[in-house]
Amino acid sequence: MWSYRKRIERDLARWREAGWVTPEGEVAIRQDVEKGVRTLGLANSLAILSAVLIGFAVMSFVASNWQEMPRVLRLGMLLASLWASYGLAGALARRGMSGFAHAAILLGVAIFGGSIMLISQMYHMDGNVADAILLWAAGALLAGVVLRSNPALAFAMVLVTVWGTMEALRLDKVFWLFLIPWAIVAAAFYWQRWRPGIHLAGLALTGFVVSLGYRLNDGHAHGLVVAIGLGVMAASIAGERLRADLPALWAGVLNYGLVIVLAGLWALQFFESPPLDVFTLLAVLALAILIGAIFWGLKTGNRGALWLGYIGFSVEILAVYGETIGTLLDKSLFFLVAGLIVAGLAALAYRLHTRGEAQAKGALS
Amino acid sequence: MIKLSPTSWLAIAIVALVQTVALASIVYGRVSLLKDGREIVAEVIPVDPRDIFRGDYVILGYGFTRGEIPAPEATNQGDTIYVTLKPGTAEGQWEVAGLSLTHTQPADPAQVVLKGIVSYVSNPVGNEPRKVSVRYGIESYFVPEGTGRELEQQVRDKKISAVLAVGKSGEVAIKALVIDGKRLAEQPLL
Repeated sequence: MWSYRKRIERDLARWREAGWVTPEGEVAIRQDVEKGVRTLGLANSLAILSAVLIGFAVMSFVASNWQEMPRVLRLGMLLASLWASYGLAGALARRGMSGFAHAAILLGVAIFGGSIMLISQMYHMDGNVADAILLWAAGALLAGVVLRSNPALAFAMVLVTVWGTMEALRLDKVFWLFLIPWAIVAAAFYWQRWRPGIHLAGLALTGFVVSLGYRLNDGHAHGLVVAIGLGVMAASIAGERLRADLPALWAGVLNYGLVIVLAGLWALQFFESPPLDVFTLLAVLALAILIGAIFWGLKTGNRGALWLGYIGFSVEILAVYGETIGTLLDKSLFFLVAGLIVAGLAALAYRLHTRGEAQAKGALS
Repeated sequence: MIKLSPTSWLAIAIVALVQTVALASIVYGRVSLLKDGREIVAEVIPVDPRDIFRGDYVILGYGFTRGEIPAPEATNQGDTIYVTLKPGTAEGQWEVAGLSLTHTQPADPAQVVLKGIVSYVSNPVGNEPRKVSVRYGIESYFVPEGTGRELEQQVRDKKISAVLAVGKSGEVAIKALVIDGKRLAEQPLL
């Protein structure tokens, strides 16, 4: 909602200059957008938060008065609150309050998970917690798909990631099975055409790929991670050529590839303690990729790549500074060379920019 | 055709029903195990004798989980493993008779097989076999909030045992705790 308001502000200014909207029209649009932001956005966010809080309240109430009640009553309470939340969701959706309905669905999913935990406690089951989390994720996915609820799907992805992490730690190896539920939830996001969800899926998979570097080859597979990341970036550039109608998708894929490459390069530089020449080579490679990302971000309007480039560049420089690379003289030489190269690039960029502007002016006149 | 949206009561009912069935099947599995499983009594060794009722649950240790058990060569962390127990010298004491990655009925009816998960595999030292720690899912006993201290007073210096129910394929559940020969009040299964 916030980004929509920002965008409409920009567009309005442009449309006014072009003479497409009257001043009255502009005021009316502004008021309408403002109203939507104030009431619906805030109300829906609060509803989601309240669902989380009520979920906690139900669970801690039931848990604290637990052993006093007969088991059948406890089970009855859990199931009644489960059905009540979904019933509430249905009632709210029928009144057109879809934001509140999704909050109620999320509450239902929370109660489902809480019920699994409380039933385990009731029968003194002390099994593998990850199994319970996977069952919970399945329930969230079911609610997300059947009720077309994006918050429930997002929660399913979070649970799948928690499950994968727990199993990887418990089994002490790469947990490839993670990819199956990941793919199912990611497919649900795609089917819903929900962009934040696709990002969440990208983030989860990025984490998985980066973790490979710490698991495969006795924990020294960061080179593979860098290669995978470069492959992902190449695929996104190729994809942009083949399917130019999906620019946002390819931009996102490129950025996740970039994150993977950087995570791998950082592990190689700072965890593997390579010899000085290899370290310098890696640092130069990382800086080159980051400058490339900034260029690419400016050229294609990919703001994610631009910010990743800026932030990554600063972090890389700081990290290199923190790492003692020989004498202070070596260090100062490294920064001098890096500074001169970047200054040169800045000059080049400036020139390209002014030439581009001159061309644009020439084309207009 | 079901309309997939929260405005459809049918869609709502499907979600609630499937989740209810999932929860009910957990309860059903437990109740039938507790009802029909073979009952054995195992002596409990408090893990921390000074403070065994931490918060709202007790951590239970058993004689047969103490120390590490020699295991087959191909055992990995996280594997399901079947541990055969034979009765020890006194009542409630059990000793490990063997470990296997598959479930087999013991020849001696006095023996019992428990299904567990390998929680840790130690690196073999010299020619000794690798040793494993096993968790059976019977290591926690939940008590009503605030009653932990009271129980702790009760059980200090007393003998505690757990009544376990063991199913046909080795799954095991805690049925009750026995303190000094007295079974703690039990609730009906449902």
